[in-house]
Amino acid sequence: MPAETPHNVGYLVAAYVVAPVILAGYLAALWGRVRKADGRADGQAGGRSGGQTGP
Amino acid sequence: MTGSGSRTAAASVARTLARRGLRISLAALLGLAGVYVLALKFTPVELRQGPAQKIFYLHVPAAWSALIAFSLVGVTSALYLWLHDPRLDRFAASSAEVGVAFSAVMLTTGPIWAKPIWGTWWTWDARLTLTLFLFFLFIGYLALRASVHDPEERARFSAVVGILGMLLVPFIHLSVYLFRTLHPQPVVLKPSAPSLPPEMLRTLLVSTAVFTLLYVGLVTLRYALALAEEARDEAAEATDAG
Repeated sequence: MPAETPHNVGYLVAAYVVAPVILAGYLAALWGRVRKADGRADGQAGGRSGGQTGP
Repeated sequence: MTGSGSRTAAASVARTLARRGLRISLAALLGLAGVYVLALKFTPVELRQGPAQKIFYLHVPAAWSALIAFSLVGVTSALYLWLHDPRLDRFAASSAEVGVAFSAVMLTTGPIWAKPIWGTWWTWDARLTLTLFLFFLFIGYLALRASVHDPEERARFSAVVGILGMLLVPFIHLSVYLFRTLHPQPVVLKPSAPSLPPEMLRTLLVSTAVFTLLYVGLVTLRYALALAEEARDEAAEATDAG
């Protein structure tokens, strides 16, 4: 007689939540860092030419 | 081109790359949603392990992406030491950081899968210990990069660490053959044909393609960040000098 299939769906749900949280969180953090670096570069270039300043 | 003109060009390239990287990454995350549907609705449950076996479709592609990322760090680091092209150093730094993110997925989904199947979250066997060591080695690589301010020194020192990290990758892959371990042996990347039912193999391959696309998107975005930071630092130096 075949053994009963284990009921462990909770572990599946945990892994399927954790993985996109890590990856989407990293993507969001990376995008934020790009925006910040880009804004500062704009600000410094603008400050030097006496023109616009970045955020 | 003047210094100011080259900085503006670099910032413009960084913006273009950042937008491209974001678009690719978002497409890959959408693809990940598709992988969830494929894995949960259209892939059979493995009878002995139950639903937890489906963690396989995240854990293995995350491991694949992490090991590819760290291998490319080593390759581009070696090329940097030979050619001294700053683009190679930028790519190595980007691939290392993205590899750490994929390692974090691998090292969290692994124990979540291990608990119901092995009865323990973690065991200090060769495969798991070496993988954790590789993760910490690349955390160290990123810490080293953050602590050295001279760009050429930073690139040279971190290239050596990157090459050492790459040397661990084949050892990790072969560790399941070299040592007694709880970790299963490869079911796809092995000399004989894949030992998976076709539906499971299809889902694994689709997920691997999606994770590879996500790697490409995140590395493109991280490379854009490196470019933007360099343009910012050069602008700051020019402001100080002026």
